[in-house]
Amino acid sequence: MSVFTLIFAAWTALAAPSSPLAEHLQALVPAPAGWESAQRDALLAAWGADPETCLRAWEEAPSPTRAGFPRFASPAMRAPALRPLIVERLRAGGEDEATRAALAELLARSGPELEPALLGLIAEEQGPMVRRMLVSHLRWAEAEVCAQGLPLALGDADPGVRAEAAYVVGHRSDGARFAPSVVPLLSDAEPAVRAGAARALGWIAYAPAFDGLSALLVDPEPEVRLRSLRALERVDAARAAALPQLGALARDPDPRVARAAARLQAR
Amino acid sequence: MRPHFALLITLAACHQSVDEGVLDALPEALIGVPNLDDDDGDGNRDAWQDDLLDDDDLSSLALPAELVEGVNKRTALNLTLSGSGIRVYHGGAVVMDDETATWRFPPDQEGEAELLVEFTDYHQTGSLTLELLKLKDDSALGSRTVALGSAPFQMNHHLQAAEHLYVMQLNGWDMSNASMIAGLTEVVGEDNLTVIPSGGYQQDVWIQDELEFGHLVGMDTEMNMVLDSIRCSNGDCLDDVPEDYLQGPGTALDTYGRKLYTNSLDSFGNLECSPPVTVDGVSYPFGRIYFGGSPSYHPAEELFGVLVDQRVQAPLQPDSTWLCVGHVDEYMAFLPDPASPKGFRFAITDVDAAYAFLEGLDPESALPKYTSTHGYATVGELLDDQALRALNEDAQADYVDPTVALFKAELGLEESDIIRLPLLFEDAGPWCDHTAIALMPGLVNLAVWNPEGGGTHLLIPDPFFRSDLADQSTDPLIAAFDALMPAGSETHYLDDWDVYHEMMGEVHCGTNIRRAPAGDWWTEAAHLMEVE
Repeated sequence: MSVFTLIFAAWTALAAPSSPLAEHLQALVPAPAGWESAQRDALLAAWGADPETCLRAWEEAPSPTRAGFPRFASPAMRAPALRPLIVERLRAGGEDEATRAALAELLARSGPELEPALLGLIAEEQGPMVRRMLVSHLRWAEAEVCAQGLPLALGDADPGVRAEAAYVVGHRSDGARFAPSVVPLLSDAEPAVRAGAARALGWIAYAPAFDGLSALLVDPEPEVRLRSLRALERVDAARAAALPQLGALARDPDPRVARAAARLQAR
Repeated sequence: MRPHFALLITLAACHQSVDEGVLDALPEALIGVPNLDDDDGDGNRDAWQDDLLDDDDLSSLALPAELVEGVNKRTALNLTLSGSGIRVYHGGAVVMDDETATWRFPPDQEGEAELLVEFTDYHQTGSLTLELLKLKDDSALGSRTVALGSAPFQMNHHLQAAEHLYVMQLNGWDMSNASMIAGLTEVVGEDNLTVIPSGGYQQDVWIQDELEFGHLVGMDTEMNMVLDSIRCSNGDCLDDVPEDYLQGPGTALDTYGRKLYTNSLDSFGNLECSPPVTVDGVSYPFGRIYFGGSPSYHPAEELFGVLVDQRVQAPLQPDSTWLCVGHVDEYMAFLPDPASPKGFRFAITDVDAAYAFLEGLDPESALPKYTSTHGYATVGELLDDQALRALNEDAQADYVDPTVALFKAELGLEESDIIRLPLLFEDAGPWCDHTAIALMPGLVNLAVWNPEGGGTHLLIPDPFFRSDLADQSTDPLIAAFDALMPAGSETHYLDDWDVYHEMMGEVHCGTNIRRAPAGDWWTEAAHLMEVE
């Protein structure tokens, strides 16, 4: 079935031509290029398969989680078949950033077919929280897709997005491949980024980061000191236990840091 | 050192006068409840009103006929009230309060008389002195001082008998909690269950977080007390549920903290109470309150201050800020266990137990429920995820182990009291700055249903840690969990996956249980009333 047939099928199937989704589909007629073209095809295929569900998903609102942020918990919204429609809601814009971030969250484990769209969305997205959520999905992406997406995130103006890039690397089983790009984040101006980078490098036990992590043991932020201590223990516990900074850290005003240092000293 | 209440009683008894035959009939102390409910249903707290319409929450001081009839042209009975916020009624009218400390009992009455004492706040102390005088020369014929005291707020703990369970009902697109409610109904029974439609409350299902049940207990009165949290305001989410479903005669509400300045730690899944404990020789017969937080991120200080002021359940604060939601119910619970030395066991998550459990399984075991929402298709994938292991090891070392140490020190727990649960947390992602959230449904985040004489039923989230989702008997995590639960407890695994687990809560978070009162604080906890 050609794209134009699908578009025709979509138009003729629209029960309510004035619905927001119908208007949006009609705007897609001039065929876009690149990933957007594939996205258009996927969207129309989804529409052709189940227009009623698509209409419902286009309007569905998230609910607050117990932590207070919005999330789409309905299994129907999480269905892989609806992912093109979720991408389209993000592209269409017009919704508040929290809702858009909740939509972005739905794209987890999008699959290879949607990964180009993921990269496109990261590049185009204006909302920092939405970008952060989109970047987080790189942890499940194919290595080459991750390799393309990470530079966008590592250089992002928003510290939350930069920290997210570090976590992506920490979560990946092939994290060592990307770890060199995370090491510079250990000297980021934002404590949350330094802490995230230290944590991620510790998770993958990235040995070349030892010196950079050691330097953070005197960081003014206790969270950074704690995460660095933990990371050093994972990278090289014996070498970490011999670090001269441990004595002072065992008396750290933050009890978590003091406990971690004392435990490391006692190894 | 302020004299504690038992000492007040003793001092009052020493004031008996020559006319002890009459005055001895009076009690040494009168302990009541603060009149915080709304018996007449006019929307105002009874303690704010001077009338006694439909009110049954005052403490009665009966004056014997011999005393009443002895008050005449020659003999007066003067009463003196001390203590603020206390009112004394006679014949339906206020005769003594903060502004009127003395009152002369009317002469020439017949038969017994009754004074009603009304307390207006927790933990008030005062006294009522009755003095018989010879009018001819104002000489004293005798006096008696009755110590007055009002109840502190006592939070419920899991050893108190369960009376009624509340749950919200949700029907959304392709998701509902009908299965969980059916399971609750089967265990609890329809008569003991209130199902509240969430449609009028913005689909909010977190009733554990909205309110906390407790009691006010006096010598001849008692009242259910509900703390209404500040998590919802201005009628949002569950804000009105306590008023709509609970407030009424015999049940009072109170709120502490400013609703404009809330965080997740102000929710009452983060407010729990241990069973009775003895610590370094000090007995806490009603347990100790605990809530999570840290010096820089904590619940409203106003509530903390109120709980400290109650003195009977001295609060402590483990650090729960490593969790995205941040509630103590996410990683620990107290379980009734009549066969154990303390009558309970303390269950807490444990990363070593979790990995020991996983390593005992076939790594190829499929986990279909975890594939789409958590990204793990098999047990082997869980075991191979080094970031997951690191996150859990850090949480254990930095927060869970210190919690255990704190509870050992402050609740007198010993290792044999502790059940280590094989549960893991996962990275909660960008919304939560990569703090933790239950990966396997938080089985510890359970509700204890233990009605009087009805045994102990543990209402637990179904972990779906199996390939055949319809067959709980094939679930190795359920088998492991059952083996750890106190003997005699009956476990019930309820499907809370979509509505609760995926939204960062579990069965405990979605239910709330009213319990029977715990006991006489003025005798059992008199030693805790001392204040430095």
